[in-house]
Amino acid sequence: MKPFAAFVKMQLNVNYGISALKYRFTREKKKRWEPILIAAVMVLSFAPLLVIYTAMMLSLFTAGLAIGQPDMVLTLSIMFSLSIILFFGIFYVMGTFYFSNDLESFVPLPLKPYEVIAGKFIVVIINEYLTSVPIMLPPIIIYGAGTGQGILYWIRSLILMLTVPIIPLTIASLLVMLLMRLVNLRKYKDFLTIAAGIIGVAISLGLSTYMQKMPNNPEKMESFFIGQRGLADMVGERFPPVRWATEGLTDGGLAGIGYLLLFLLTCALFLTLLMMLSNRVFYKSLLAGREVSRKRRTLTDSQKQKSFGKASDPVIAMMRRDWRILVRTPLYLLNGFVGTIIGPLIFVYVLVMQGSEPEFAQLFNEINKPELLPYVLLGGLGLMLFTAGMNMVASTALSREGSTLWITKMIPVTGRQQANAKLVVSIIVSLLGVITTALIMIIFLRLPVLWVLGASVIGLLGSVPMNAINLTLDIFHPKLVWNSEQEAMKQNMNGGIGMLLSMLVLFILAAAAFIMISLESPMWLVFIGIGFVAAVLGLLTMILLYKVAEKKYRELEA
Amino acid sequence: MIDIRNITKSYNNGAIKAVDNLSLEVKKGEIFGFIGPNGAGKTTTIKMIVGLLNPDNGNILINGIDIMKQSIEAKRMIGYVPDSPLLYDRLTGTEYLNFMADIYGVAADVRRERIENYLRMFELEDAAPDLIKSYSHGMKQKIALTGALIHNPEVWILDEPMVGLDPKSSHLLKNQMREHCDKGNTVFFSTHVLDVAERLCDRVGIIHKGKLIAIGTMDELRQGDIKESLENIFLELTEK
Repeated sequence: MKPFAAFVKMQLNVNYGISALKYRFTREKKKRWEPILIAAVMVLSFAPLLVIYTAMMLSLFTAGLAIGQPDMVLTLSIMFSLSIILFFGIFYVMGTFYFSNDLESFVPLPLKPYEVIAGKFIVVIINEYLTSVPIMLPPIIIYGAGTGQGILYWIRSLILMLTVPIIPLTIASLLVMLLMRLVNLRKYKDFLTIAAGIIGVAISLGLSTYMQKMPNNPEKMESFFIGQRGLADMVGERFPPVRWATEGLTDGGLAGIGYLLLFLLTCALFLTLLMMLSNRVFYKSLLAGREVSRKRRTLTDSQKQKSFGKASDPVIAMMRRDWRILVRTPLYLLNGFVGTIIGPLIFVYVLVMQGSEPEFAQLFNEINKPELLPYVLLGGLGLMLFTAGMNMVASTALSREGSTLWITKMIPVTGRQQANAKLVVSIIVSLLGVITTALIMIIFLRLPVLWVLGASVIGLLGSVPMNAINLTLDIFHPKLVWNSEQEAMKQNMNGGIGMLLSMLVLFILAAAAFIMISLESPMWLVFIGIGFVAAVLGLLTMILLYKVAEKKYRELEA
Repeated sequence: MIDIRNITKSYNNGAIKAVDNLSLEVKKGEIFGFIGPNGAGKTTTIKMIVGLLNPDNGNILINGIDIMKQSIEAKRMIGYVPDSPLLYDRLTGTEYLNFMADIYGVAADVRRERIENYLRMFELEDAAPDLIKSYSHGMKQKIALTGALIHNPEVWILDEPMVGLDPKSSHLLKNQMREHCDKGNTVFFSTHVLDVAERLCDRVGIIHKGKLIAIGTMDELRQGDIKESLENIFLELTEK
């Protein structure tokens, strides 16, 4: 086998744990059910989302059909895939290209830098299919079945689905490689890595917005609605590959094949560019990033007193440890905090992008009216809880310990104490989301401070059951074997399932609010009611957490 | 004192027995050397003693306390260093040592004195404020040792403690082990360096394919042949 083929094979094996799975199925027969159960839980958890998405796409297709644009649904799904992959690709590529533990072992191998990047890139692409296929497949089926397409269409859609992640991931890779090259020239590497991540996300958001922004020109909009100009055509003005992909699918003639080839050619061009750049900068930026500086200074007596002269409770010691590791690991910080803080800011961004000054003035007037205010606050509380539940800090808390689990197992601390330390750290991160949302409500929406403070307290209360249930999940089934910090957090299924569990908590609280409102309870009572339900849920989930923690920390082996 | 009674640990539904019905006792005041070929079950046994792995059968008592049933109390009496200490890379040495001291409830003035002693002994004073990420293997080993001994545990359990240590540190550690046992405490360590085991240990146990095949003082193992080295005894026993 050629070295590159062997390398790719090994990468795929490690990434998907193929040998580990084989071992489990042939040797550890008792544990066979585990991967099957996990797959089943994943499918069941995401099935409702997929059903809702498919229904949305179906109605979009029907609407498109009415204005003579059945292919609208395809253009939208392609655009959606591109944006999502570009956005998440930044973190993903950063983790895989720069923060994997195995990278250093590849440098001495007789492989060219571009071969290492290519191998890693293939793994990332295959992982991205998990995102792009669920987004693209329903519209492709809806369009294909709805317009009665033949075999050629299905073959083309397969090709398209397999190649769609290439362009956004290449853009993400190029961005990351260039940013990392800059970062490594400086001293404050960890900080700059985080900055690079944020800049990368900002650029990818900007690019997506640029691609998706509809023309303001009324004439153009009219020609769209009367079906003279397709959506693909309009988006194509800004980002041609989307048009080529859509036309390549829908145009049955030679032109269609031409468009598809054009799209594939663009993908190839992007890939070539990436490979060329990786040969030039990849190892330089990678190796520079691995150098760790030491200060080497002797502590003075007063420094020693400061360093060693204070004792604290074990739970506080564990909290401090978890917090330090969380904020000092760029990928944890990016994934855990940036999402929490950026989430509410995106909300503001979307609002700003869509409105004009007088519209805002009117909006602020409306939402501050006494009859509307409680509902706006309720919406704000919903947003607070949403950001509080999306950070994945709790749902990967034990997983992140990885190979240092032996310390946790060795120390004389109960499962309950371990759980308490992790719960507090996760709640603090959630609190940051609550505070950001509260600040937006006060500064941007100009809502009354006291009311927002009240909503924040309930938001904090609601984050307790979210974090407790997420933590229970991770302690119950941690992912302790990983090669990069990225894998511990983003490629950890507990993260995704945890978000759904958070949404379940949010749903229960929303249902409680809805019931009380429909019973015509006064609004202050509705808020107290939500707080009460959140407190009860918090109590129940914490009881569950302690039970699971006591049992699992005993059973876990390191 | 460590009392291991009939412990078994198997993998693949019992197909591979990593440790097979092993019993042994390490008395107070004793340095016990645990030797065996690669894959013999040394690390598995050690991990069961400190509570990282749960045995399928049998009991392990640390000073009379069952590590499985009263794990917290038992763990308090143990100081453990694994063969390749994977520590928190993003903490500094100082932070790690403080963490361990907090966990074991070591009072502020006591911890300062102990930490300073060990850092001086291992020549780590300058490196302590740096991130563990920047340490060499040996430095990590030294920080792990300091963290494990910070609460002055009665029972030291060290998995290949000399690996990665420079000759001076290794020598100092051996002296510390001797001193610790002379005060009536217990040291249990595994090693591949048979010379060290021969010179340092009060008793030696040889494990092979999960079973304890020999145990005793050097004299007992030699069975009257004074010239016989531990290396020869080991090779004879494990190549049968």
